[in-house]
Amino acid sequence: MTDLENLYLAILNGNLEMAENITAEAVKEQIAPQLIIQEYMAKAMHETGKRFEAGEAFVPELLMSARAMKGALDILKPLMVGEGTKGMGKVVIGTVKGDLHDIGKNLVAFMLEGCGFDVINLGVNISSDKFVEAVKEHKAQIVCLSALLTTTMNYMKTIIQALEESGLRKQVKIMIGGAPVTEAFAAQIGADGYSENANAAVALAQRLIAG
Amino acid sequence: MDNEYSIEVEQLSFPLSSILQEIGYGQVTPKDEIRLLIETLFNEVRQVVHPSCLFQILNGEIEGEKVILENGATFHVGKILSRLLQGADQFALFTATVGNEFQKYRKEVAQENLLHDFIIDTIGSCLVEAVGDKMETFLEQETAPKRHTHRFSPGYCGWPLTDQKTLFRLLNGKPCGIILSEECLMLPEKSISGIIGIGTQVNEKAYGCRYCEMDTCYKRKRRKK
Repeated sequence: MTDLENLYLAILNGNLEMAENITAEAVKEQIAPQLIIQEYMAKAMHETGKRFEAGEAFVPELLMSARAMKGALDILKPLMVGEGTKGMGKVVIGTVKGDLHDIGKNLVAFMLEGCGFDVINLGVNISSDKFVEAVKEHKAQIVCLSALLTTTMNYMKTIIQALEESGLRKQVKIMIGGAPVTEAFAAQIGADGYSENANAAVALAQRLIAG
Repeated sequence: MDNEYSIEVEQLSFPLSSILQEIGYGQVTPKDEIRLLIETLFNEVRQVVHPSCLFQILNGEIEGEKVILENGATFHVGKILSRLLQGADQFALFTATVGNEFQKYRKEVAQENLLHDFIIDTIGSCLVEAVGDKMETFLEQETAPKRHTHRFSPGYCGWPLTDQKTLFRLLNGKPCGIILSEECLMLPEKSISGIIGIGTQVNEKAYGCRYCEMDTCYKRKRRKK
């Protein structure tokens, strides 16, 4: 019988191959996907996040854990269709117009994916029109806006206004992030939240979805 | 006249420890797998890159929140930087870059692998700052015994990014092979540009959070942690 504690350890240690093997074994043994996810995978990611916040782990460890989690989740996803289970939520993410920086935004996208969100990554230099189109097309519940420059962060407000004008603002929660952005700035432009790093972004997204 | 320098990586102060520190491994040792990966990518980057830097020294003065150069060109540096540049009667306009080879290498190696991309990005950021430091040593050889300020870049401390257009025009459009995008960002991405104040009266130590009032500065956020 598969010892799922090893799945917990595989994700915590960022061991993709081990995480995939154990998950495949668990599937063969017909262990319920929800149990695997909630009791082992999510708890491992939570522990990695805790270590990150405590300064005991850094971005490489976060990414390796998220990669192992994503690999294991991909094995479970086909089994969850029609089970009445839903993904964590749909997220549209992009770096705002005028800004070409993408590494921070990609870290957040990857972590969200690793934690079970469906992520539509629009890329960099994204106009308000493109954000509005993507929210409509994908029926997103969360929009993540990223900017690295003090000169481009103000465009986040333009995007929020565009979502309001298109009647979509009430159906989405808006998260912002990036080097110059702060909690106070998020409040000032009418965003629903700000996160300082990729790990905190996942926790914020989970809170926003839970309402 | 522009002073352009091609730089060998061996000339730079650019140790592996600076990358580990930047990622966060100051007190904590990364596990072997991560350390080996960082070390491998670090050594590969060192082998492929061809960094360069350039500066042009012009006479000028500070008028209010602007720097006005001898040729009439104006930089709208704002309140914070005009204060930090006080005392300068010359200004070095500069660029420094890790070069296009870095961009190509990153594209090849980091494709679809965010962990590699993150590490290479960090290596590039540390490398371009090391190139900037080297550029300052070349500048010092040229301007001694005068003193100089820290380097300041458009897009920071309230200096509008759009002034990049003026800066690049004065440096003949494509300094060190760097291309300025419509959004005033530089390609290769790991490039820096800006000005340095030069004079007998400048305060070279004057930099840091106590001199700047910008709440949204990323350096201030880091210090609060």
